Amino acid sequence: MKKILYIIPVLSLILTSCSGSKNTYNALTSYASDVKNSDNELITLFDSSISLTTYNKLDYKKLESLFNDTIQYEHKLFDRYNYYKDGEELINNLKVINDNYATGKKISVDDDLFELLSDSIKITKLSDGYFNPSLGALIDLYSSKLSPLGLTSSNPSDEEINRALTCSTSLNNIEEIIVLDSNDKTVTFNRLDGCNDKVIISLGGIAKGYAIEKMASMISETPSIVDGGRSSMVATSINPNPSRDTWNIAILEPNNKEILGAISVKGMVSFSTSGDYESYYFDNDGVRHHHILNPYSGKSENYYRSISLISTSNNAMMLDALSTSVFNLDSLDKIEDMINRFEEAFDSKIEYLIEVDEGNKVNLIVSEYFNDHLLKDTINYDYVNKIIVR
Amino acid sequence: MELKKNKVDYIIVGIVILFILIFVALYWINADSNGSDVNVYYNNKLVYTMNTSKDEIITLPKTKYSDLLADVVIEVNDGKVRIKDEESPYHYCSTLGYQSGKGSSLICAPNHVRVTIMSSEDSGYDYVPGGAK
Repeated sequence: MKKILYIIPVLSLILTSCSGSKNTYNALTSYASDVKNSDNELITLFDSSISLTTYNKLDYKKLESLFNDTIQYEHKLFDRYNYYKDGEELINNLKVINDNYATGKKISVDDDLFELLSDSIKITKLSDGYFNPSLGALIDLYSSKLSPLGLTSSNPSDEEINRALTCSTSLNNIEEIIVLDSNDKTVTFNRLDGCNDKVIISLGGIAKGYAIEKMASMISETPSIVDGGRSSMVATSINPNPSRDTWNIAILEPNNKEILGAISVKGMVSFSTSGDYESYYFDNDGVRHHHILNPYSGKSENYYRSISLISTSNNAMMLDALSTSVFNLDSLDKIEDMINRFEEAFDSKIEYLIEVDEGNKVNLIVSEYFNDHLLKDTINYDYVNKIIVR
Repeated sequence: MELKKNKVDYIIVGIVILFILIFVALYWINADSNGSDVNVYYNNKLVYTMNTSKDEIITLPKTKYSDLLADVVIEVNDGKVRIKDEESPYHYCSTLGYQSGKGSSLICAPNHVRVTIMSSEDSGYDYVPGGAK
């Protein structure tokens, strides 16, 4: 009988160890809810699905509404297509600023919109104009052609492109056209000589990064992932996953959007990726055109398939704008030069991974840090030809 | 010292092995038959839950969900999920095709609908651009 009793602890041990082998990980994800514009139409935030993932119920409950309110608020400020109301008052958002092009009126704006416009001008200069917040007219030329499905469409004519480019500011005149007064937080949107239509400010390449960076800065001590939906994220604090304390970030290959590998980083990390596969079309000659437009040529460039940037601090806005800018540079030396300039200006280390076509696979060109943190056993050589370390 | 083995020892070992086999079998059968929940969200509110283990077609009617462009039909078939029918530019949402990966989502922004295959398992990745985790 005594021996039979021994079975109980033995079985308990077996059952406990077996149930523990199913590695459960209770990540709780909250998505920001769409908002109603002034016409009561439901609008998708930043045209994405923005989420916050936390790792226990208490954090989830505590942060869910803060996250929702923050992302909705930032969206309302930076949306250039819709009006929003705060009670009965119209919010002075980007659409209102664009409406006041060439009116000479000083528009009083919220601190966040003022800061983002100010940062956009700073980044325009830092990127030699490869980031440009005044490309609205050019973007509108392409927007109906671009989609994640890669459909066939005709190109806009050179005449249309040139007309749109004459309505975008340059490195030399941006501060004369978008005049920011830090004393009273006002914006005056002046007329641009030579533009027969309208200059339109579009913050699409930077606004979502700003919003998730803002959110992450409020919860930097709480383990979480603020996900911009398609291409950018910030992970805060230490990953509480019982099986690892690093954040594992997957990298996609550009053709089927399958995972080709992953990078593993401990602690706060910002990540941004720009790829020609996110939103694109093929012209009648079968040439791919995508959403990352070169502000100088008015067209997209096909030097790279994807550029991913990583920083071990909360820098989503800067990375968003930088990954867009470097996509238009025709050499790795130029990319590294620009990254160095941004590192200095933002006092932050930036690492990169660039995907370029090699047959029906890609070569990965990586900075040393990125290579050191690549999870080598995750690299899928069905998609990767080789890894080149710079 | 030599340990003596008797009948009771063999019975104990036999029972332990039997328990292990039963437990492992139940674990796998259970894992397979449970499938994964498929949550359907409208404007980020959970409105319906399906399961990959059971073929099913549901319709979100525009009469009930006013911001849909038209009725949205969602199908679970053979463990995979798709948005079968809807109205959107280029029928973008139905062109997304089937998804079957745990944690992956079908996002139909024009209709404010998201369909997510739920998972509590650790895929090994904390972030995948595009939402699948």
